[in-house]
Order: sequence, then C-alpha cells, then structure tokens
Amino acid sequence: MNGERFWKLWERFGLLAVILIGIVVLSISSPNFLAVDNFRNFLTQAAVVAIVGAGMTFAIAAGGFDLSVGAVFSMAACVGANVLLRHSVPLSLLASLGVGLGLGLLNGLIITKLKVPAFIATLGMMAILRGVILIYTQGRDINIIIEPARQARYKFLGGGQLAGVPTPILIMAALFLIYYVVLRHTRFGRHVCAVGSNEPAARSSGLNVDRIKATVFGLVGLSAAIAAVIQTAQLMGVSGGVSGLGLELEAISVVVLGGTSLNGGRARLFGTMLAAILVAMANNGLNLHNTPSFYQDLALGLILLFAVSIDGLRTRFQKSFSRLEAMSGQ
Amino acid sequence: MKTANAQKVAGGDVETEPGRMARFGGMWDRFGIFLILVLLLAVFAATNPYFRKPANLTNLLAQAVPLGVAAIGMTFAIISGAFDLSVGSTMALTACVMVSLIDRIGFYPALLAGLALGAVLGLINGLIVTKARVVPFIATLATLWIYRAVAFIYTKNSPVQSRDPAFTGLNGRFLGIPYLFLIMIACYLVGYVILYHTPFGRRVFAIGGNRKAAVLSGINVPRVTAMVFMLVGLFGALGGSLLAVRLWSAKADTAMGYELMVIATVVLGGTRLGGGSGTLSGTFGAALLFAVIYNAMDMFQVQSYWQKIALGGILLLALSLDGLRRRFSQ
Repeated sequence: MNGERFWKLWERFGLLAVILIGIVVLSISSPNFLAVDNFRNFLTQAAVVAIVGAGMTFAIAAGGFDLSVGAVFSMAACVGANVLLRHSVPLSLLASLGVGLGLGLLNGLIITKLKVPAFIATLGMMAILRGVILIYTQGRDINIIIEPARQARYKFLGGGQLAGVPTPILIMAALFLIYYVVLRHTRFGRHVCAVGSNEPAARSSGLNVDRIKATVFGLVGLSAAIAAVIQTAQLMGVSGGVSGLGLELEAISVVVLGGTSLNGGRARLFGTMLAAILVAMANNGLNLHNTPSFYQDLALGLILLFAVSIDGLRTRFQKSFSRLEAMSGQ
Repeated sequence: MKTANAQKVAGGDVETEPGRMARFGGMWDRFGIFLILVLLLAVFAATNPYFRKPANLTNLLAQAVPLGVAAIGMTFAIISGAFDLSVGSTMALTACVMVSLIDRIGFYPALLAGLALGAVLGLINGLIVTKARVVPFIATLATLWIYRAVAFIYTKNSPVQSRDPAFTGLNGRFLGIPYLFLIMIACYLVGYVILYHTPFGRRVFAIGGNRKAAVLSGINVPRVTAMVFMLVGLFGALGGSLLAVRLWSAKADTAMGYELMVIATVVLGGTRLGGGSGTLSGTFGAALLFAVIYNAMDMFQVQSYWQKIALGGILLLALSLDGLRRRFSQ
C-alpha cells in the first residue's frame, strides 16, 4: 500500500521533484544558473516546444500522432515572415495561424476521409511540406527587416516582457490554461479522450469520430503555428530548410515524458509543460558547462528512456504488490 | 479482411473471399508493386535517353542497396507488430565505427565488428522493449537520440574515411551487376529463408497476427521480439556499412531521417502497419521502386525540392489507395 501511495505521488509530482532536484544541482555546479536572466532564457526556450507539445498532447490522447508538426511549424513561420515583409503585423499573424490550422485540418481530412493511418499520412505530409517550403523560399533565409515600429510590435511576441515576464512564457501559460479548460471542462475534450481510449465504442455511441479527429489535427497545426510565430519573432527571421527540423520527435518525446499514455485516452497537459521545462533546463545546464550540442540529444534520449522505463517497471511492481495484497487478504 | 490475414499467418495464400474484387486485391498485394515498377521502368526508359543507358540502370541497382538492406530487418519488425525508429541512428553509428576501424584491423574484421555492434544496439532496443516494458515507438525514439549522439561523440563530428582497396573495391561489378546489389540479393534470400522456412519466422507472423493467441500457444513472445530487434540492428548495420562503401566514408549525420524512409519502404511494399501480414518480396520491390524514382528524377534534372514533394506524394497516394481498396472490399 505504501508502494502504491508512492507511485501515486510520483505520478503527480515526480516531474516537479526532478525539476527541483535539477535546479539545486545546477545552481551548485554553475553559479550563472540561478540568474534571473538565465531562468527567463530557458523558460522561453521551453515555451516553443511546450506549445507544440500541447497540441500533440491532444493528438496522442485521441490515439494518433502527428509527424508533420516540424514542417507545419516551418511553413507557418515562412509564410508569416513573408507576409510581414509587406503587410501589417495582424495580417502576418493571421497568415501564420491560418497556414497552421489549414495544414492541420488537411492532415485530419487525409486521415479520416482517405483512411490513411496517422503515422503515414503525417509522414507523407512532412516530406511534401519540406519540399514546398524549399520551393517557396527558394532555399533562402527570410530576414525580417521592416520599419522600426512594426518590427518592435512583432518582436514583442518573442522577445518582449510584461512586468518582467517574457511574452513567450505568458503566451504559453495562457494557452495551457485554455487547453486545460477545453480538455477537462468541455464536451469536445471528453470526446477526444473517448475516441482515444476506444474508438469503435466512441463511434457506436454516436460520436462523430471523424470530425473530432479532424478538429484535433487542426488544433495540432494551430499550436505549431503559434510556436512558430514566437520563434520567428525571437529570431526576427526564419531559415525554412532547418526551422523545426526534428521538432516532431522532440514534441512527442516531451508529451510522453509528461505522462500522457501513447495508448490514447489519457492526457496530461501540464505534464507536457513540465517535461518541456525539464528538457530545456537540462539543455541549459549542458550549455552552461560548455558541452557540445549533441550531448543535448544524448540527454533527451536518456531522460526519455529513464522516465518510460520507470513507468514500465512500476506496472511490474504494482502487479507483484497487488499479488502480495491478495495473498495477505486471504 | 481479418480472415484473409489469418490465412496468411498460417502460411498459405488461400483466397478466403471468393469475390472478384477480393481476388484482384490479393493479386494486387502480391504483384502490384512489381507491375508499377515495370511500368515506370518502361516509361522512363522510353522517354529519357540517359535513364536507359546500361551504366545508369546498373547504378540504379546499387542505389537501392542501403535502403533495401536496412528494410529487411524492418519488415520482420513491422510484421511482428513493432517498429524501430532508431535504425537510421544505428546505421550511422555502426558505419562510423566500421569505417574508423578499417585502417587498423582490415576491412572484413571491421565489417564484422560493425555488424556485431549493430546486433548489440538492436538487442538493447529489444531488451528495453521486453524487460522495461517500454512500447517500441518510445524505446526506439529514445535510442534514436542516444545512438546518434554517441556517433557524434565517437567521431567528434568529423567524417571518417578509408582508402582500403577491399572497402572501396566493393563498388565494383560482376558481369556488369554491382557487387552491392548481389549482396542485397543474398541478404533477401537469407531473410526469405528465416521468415518463411523457420519456426522463428512463423512465430514472427503469429505475434503480429494475434499477440494473445501467440502467448497462449506457448510462444516466448519477449524472446522472439528481442530477436526481431536484433535482426533490425544487424540489417541496419549492414545497410549503413554498404552506404559507407558507396560514399567511401561515414559521418555522424549519415542516414539522418532514414528511419522514416525505411518504414515507408516496408509499408509501400504491402506490409501492414498493424502487423501480422507482409512480404519480403514486396519490400524488395518497394526499395527498387524508390531507387527508380529517385534515379529518374535525377536524370530528368528534377530539383531536389521537388523530389521531396514527389516522395511524400507517392507515399500518400499509395497508402490512400490501399485504404480505399480496403473500404471497397468491405
């Protein structure tokens, strides 16, 4: 019983505990870690992955996933940056978000109408989009050089601060609150989990599964586009060919690390956010110690492996616990 | 559809649905990919004088090899209902280690060492999946990051190469046919025997077809699964080594993104993503098909951007046709 309680606590607060331990270790090992600027810095980096991960959490909870988010991210960034060169900031935002939402819905339509598995549909979409991006940008970087007033307004979305808090963190927080309410307190949120845990049952109980799935993929695309706007505003430019490369796997890793089950039916939205923060913190720690960037991949892999192995080992333990309990009960 | 799969599990190709549509479907599954292959070859050869040159056609055969060989192991994995995202990283790491050893211990010992390393990497995947109970998608996603990072750390991010005559000489030809292609044929023969003429092969089908039934009929599912992952690692290592032969060198970012290409090849070859049915000949045909398309696009001087779009389009088209066909036969 003690074991069971421990695992319940671990499930709720495990990530938080690991983050706190990480903060203690890193602040001892490198004096620069605790600086406010450094915190702002890595939380801002976490925001991009966390927001993409928030959309992905819906997809995985609905029993699918989306390999095209990195390419959608890049496409939304490129179109938004190009529109900004000639038009106003709101129009650019509209373009980015429209591209993200549209491509996401297109994924959803391919999956539901043509009955292509999500894995294949979004893989194909990724390959196609990567080509389209290179043709659209002609392989060139887009640098946003416009009159200062407009530039400042756009830059605020990625590099600005409100009351000392960077805008990306505020956007992340607001978005997670909205998504949380949608997931937990709306019919749509419950339907997403219903579809994810048992699709045939959801279908036969009268849910419009196709529409729910298509909406979910639209949401994934939209989230990727929001993250793309933040990053474009940070860098004030985008390099279509490399932007968002590998983001799909990073986002899926973060969602799984956060405790969302790949089997679908269960979403842990704030787990996704904490996991993104943990990964960003680990990368930040490695940077502060001047380690080459590929050690970050190693760290991500090991953290992921550690987290999911614990999950697997736990079910084993729980089985033996319940067996023990059953025996002692007799 | 279910019963048809069950028949295939049993090893026969008995038609269970007597309808004309279903019989057409069965034939299509078996020979469709070769039909498309022949059609494309004919069209490209008729329309492009560079494509039909014998030197190009044999070069095309060599082009198919790294992907084709790596896809053998993946066919086993997908038939058994699992898949391995780390295969691209495995290819890179083993190729780097192999090439770096050639000048020290000679080509063939180095090749053996590379293959052994590949088997070990595969076994690690298998043990994570079976012992720590991590689903294959996540386990191999983690090792995708880890193996790639180890390759970067091992090579310090600089290319490794060798001018050993046994190594570079493998690019030669026998009666006009590249050695590499002959090696690939031999690999497919070995794979064919293992898959269709050993108890192990039948267990692979059984696990993918109905896992519970496989467990109940006394199959040691974890052991078979671990061996399947070893095969993926082994063939991945060979594919990576042969890729290094073609390039005379290896780099830590060799075969980046290959995992998705390999999976795409297997699925395009008619293996069901859910497991339980599939053919090695289909994978062979799909690997050749990809080589033909890539080669033809080079000969027609299609920009590499458009090549990506074409690749994604083909994938989506092939698989949505498959989905639509299934709908019809229901």
